[in-house]
Formats: sequence, structure tokens, C-alpha cells
Amino acid sequence: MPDVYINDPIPKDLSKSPPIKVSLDQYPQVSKDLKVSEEKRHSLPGHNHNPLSAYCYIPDHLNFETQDKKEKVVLLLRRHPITNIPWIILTMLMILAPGLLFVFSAISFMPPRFQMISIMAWYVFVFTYAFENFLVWFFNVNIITDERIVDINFHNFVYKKVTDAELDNIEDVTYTMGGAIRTLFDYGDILVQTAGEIQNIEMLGIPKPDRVAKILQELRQEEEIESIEGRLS
Amino acid sequence: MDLIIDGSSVWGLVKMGYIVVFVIYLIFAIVVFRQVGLMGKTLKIGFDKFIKVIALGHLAMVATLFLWALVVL
Repeated sequence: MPDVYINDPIPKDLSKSPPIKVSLDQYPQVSKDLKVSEEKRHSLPGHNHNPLSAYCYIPDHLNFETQDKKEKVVLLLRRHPITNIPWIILTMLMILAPGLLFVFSAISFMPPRFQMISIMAWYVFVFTYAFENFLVWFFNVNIITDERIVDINFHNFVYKKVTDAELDNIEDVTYTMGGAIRTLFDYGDILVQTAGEIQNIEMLGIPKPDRVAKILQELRQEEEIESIEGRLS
Repeated sequence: MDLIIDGSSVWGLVKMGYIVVFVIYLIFAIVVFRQVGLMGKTLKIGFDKFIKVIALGHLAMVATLFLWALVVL
């Protein structure tokens, strides 16, 4: 009886076949942009040197804690600046609040020295409130590299959460942009669904979600091309 | 004119309350300063030094407020 479990040996002509190479033209645009020199990078759309930017394409001088040496950052994302309006307005109202207390003589029962210290303490507290909100906005970022997506979350001063997902493990990318304000200012949410037990990554209130989804798609294509080249060479 | 209750000034008690609150606030400001440093290590973006200076200024403000309350109240 023939042995059905033994494979036929690989034909000699196949084992000597040249490795498959994909030309640079077939690579997605992101791959070409990552190879561009530093001088030409300044002209790439979305690239800027503003440290407060909510959207930066291939940023200069950005490093994060778990970054590999050869890993290149493609996108730095934060919540759109317009999402800071509520706490900015509240801060302004808090700055004006002591004036109302004087108008209504709400603290006239206190000795003058207590009034002075209370008002100083109030303004220090207002500064703390504004500073915390700024830090939470500034340091809560989503970083997309040529290898993975990293989500850095500081919920407050003492709680930090860092999630990352390899591009190979991304199963689905969904972006939503609903409402007049979001449409007007071009920002929305992106949900990245990953395989297995890896947590899904949510990017909330980020600028240009359609462009970000496109870049993620291109990076996944690049990973597929690299795996094809690697598999058959 | 301060109220006197059992020989103690009410505002003396209020001052103690202020001092306790400011001590807690000072500890919080020290934690904030330290955490800003850790945040800067997690994400190095070239703006960290400026933010550290602001955090240091915040700590200085709270310390000044605490000392002022000790002296003035």
C-alpha cells in the first residue's frame, strides 16, 4: 500500500527560483514617504513641527517608552484641540468666580487675611485644574508606527495605561465622523479591532479619521508585501 | 472681631484646617511634579522641559501659598 503521508520532494527548478521582489512603485505611499530625506519630509502633507499638534505625519524628534530602535513613527495623534473647549470655558468661569463673591459679599464674614488666602488658594486650584486637563490632553496620544499602533492613556496624574497592537493583528478598522461640529472641524473616532485577546484600540476625537484609516490600510498592505517577500525568498 | 469659644478662637481652628488642606495640596503638587517627569519619559516630544518648568512653577506656587498661610493667618 502506498505511503500517503510522505510529500514528494520539491522539484529542483522551483527550489532554484529567484526570490520575489516587489518594486518600490508597488509599495503604498506611506512606505515611500518613510524613505524620504529629512529636508523633503517638511513638504509632506500633515508634517509639522508644532509640539501641540493633534495630527503629525512622520514627526521629527519623537520617541516613546517602548519604541524599538528601527521602528519609525508614522503618525502622532491626539484629540482634536476643539475637544478642550469645555474645560477652557469652565476655567474662564472659575477665574471670574471670585469677582461674583465680592459683588454678592459672600465672603465678607471672613477676616481680610482669610479672604486673601482663600482667593489665592482658589486661583492656585484653578491653575491646577487647567494644568491637569492640559496634561491629560497633551500626553494621551495614539502613535502609529511602521510596526504597530500604540495607545498611551493617562487618565489622571497617577494612572497610566499603554496598549499596543501589531499591524499584523489588526482585523478591522472602522471610523466614524458624525454631527455638525465633528464634520465642520473634521474629527472623529477610529476603532481598531485586533485578533485574539489583544484589546481593541479606540482613538477618540482625532483629526482626519479618514486619512488615518487610509494610512493604517497602507501600512497593513506594506506588512503583507513584506511577508510575501520574506515567505518566498 | 474673633469669636471666642472656651478660650479658643474659631479662626484659629479655621487656620489649622487651612494648613492641613495646604499640606495635602503640597504633597499633591509634589506628586504632580514627579508624574510630569514620568510622563515625559513615556513620551519624549521635545516639549517636556517646558512642561516640567510649569510643573515646578505650580509646586512653587503651592509651597508659597502654604508658607503665606502659616505666616499671615
